Amino acid sequence: MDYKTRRRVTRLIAHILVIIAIIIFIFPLIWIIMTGFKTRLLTFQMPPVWFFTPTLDNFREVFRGEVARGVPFSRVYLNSIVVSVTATILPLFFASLAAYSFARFNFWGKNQLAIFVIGTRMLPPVAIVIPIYLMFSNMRMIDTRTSLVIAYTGLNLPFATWMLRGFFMQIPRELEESAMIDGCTRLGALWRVILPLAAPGLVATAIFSFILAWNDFTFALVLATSDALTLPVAASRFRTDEGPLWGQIGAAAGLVLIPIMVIAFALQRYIVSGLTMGSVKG
Amino acid sequence: MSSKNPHEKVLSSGILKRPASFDWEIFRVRFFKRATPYLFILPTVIILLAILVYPMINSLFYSFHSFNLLRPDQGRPFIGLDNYRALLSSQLFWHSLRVTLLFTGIAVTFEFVLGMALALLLNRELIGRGLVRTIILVPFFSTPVVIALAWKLMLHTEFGMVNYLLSLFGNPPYNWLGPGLALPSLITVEIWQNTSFVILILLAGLQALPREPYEAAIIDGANSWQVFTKITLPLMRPVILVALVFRTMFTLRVFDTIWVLTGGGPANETRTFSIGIYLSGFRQFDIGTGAALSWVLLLITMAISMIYWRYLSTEVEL
Repeated sequence: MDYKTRRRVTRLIAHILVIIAIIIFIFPLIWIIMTGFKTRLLTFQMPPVWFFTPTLDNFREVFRGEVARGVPFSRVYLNSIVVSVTATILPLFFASLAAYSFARFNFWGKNQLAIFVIGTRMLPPVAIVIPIYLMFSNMRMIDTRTSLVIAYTGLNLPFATWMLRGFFMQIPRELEESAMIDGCTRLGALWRVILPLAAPGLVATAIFSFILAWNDFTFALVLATSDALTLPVAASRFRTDEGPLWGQIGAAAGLVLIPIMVIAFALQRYIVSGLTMGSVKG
Repeated sequence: MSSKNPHEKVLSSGILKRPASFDWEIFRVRFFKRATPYLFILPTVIILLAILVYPMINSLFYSFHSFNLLRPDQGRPFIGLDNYRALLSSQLFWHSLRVTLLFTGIAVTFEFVLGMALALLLNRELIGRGLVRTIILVPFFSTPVVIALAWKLMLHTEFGMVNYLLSLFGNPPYNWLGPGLALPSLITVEIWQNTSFVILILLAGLQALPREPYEAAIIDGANSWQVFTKITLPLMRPVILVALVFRTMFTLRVFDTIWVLTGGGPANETRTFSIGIYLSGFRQFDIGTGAALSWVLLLITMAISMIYWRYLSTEVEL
């Protein structure tokens, strides 16, 4: 084989490997979402059915039934949206202030504070689930959306601060200095100069915060019992004594994943930049 | 007041007289100049202290007490290190430790090897590379509970896709989440879920590498394996270590996928520390033991991160 054919063959092999990898990466999720469109009979059919007329019965069942007593699925969906959006905005606000300080000022104790913030990021969430539960239980706040928002705000803050710090540091100092000479205050400079310039960073941070809150199961399982239930816990509950209700699970899986997929695909360039900012350069 | 301030120098030289009365305006300006950095950070620090640190300290306090929610009559007497002593002398604890470390060690190793291979593959010029990169994000972002449910269906003994594909080659159906196979299955799901993170981090690192060493190596006639081990790996060391630290930290604490797939069973075969914490706290309501276990998990996480950290910082300085 001459050099050119050999190159062509390796290129072909590379493409085939990538296609196999992609299939493995998305097949399980596609399969469970497909199950949501199948009738009960088709779900259990062997060999598996690939082509069929989709039915929306499972989706109807999901919305008609109750996740907990008196709590319809639509309420759970709304809970997830409200909690995730709030737990995105709050950390973004506080983290912007802190990140600006870390990125711009030199002050006594800066390194210690930075280590404190990264240190809290290392904390395993599952390790604080018991004391957080007792804390909210003493405050009579179990099964409220507020308790979930508070927990997720705390969990999102460390990495949000760290990620934004990286983005802020890329913005040249001169821009805000000239704004301040023109009469801007510090906060004014942050609001009018830094935040608009760091918009991609804010978007990336927001995506990560939103997804953490949207996907969380550990805290929702413990802090929410009925009124404040969120989607991941609800999705795990479609079962009877005879076993899981696969059709409804599939429908719920699709409904849970839709917002995430829309966000991930629409804003993917921010995600990659955020990922490398938050971890590689962190 | 610092003597570096030229204004101060003029004042102390005696040419100008210090204002006799306390100048509120100057105080205010100086105070805010000094305090601004702290005022910006203050809300974040308070929130972190209240939501993350305070519960963790509380948990340390509980771990020194006998505290069971089902026995409110007993109160919560101080018992010193008895909870920890009981843990260290129980077989279940050592079994859990083994499961946790096996789960983490095997998963992170495979994630790294596969992630590196795929990152190198994607670093080539491929048709539709952007789309591929987007698709790779899918498992990374998807809700872990949904991933667990999807795999529960894939691994189903009677009508799961995995057993169906194996049956095409004449294999009998396996009970993938049953005895003996549950832990390997969970590790596989974990690898499937998180290799994308490793790929993305390593790919970003690969794309930031300088070109010159590669050009020099090609001129010197190095083969691709030599280029990989002698140039790519050493240059990528900081990025690799970051990927490993993050993956190790996050794999040690996995709860959701394990809980939904096996709940720690069968017969505690997949009972990691995180499952143990949940079971002690919310099934046995034994807060003392759960809190002690939480602290053990935290200490293990910290110890492993510290080992990585030392390695990382010395390597980066070189």
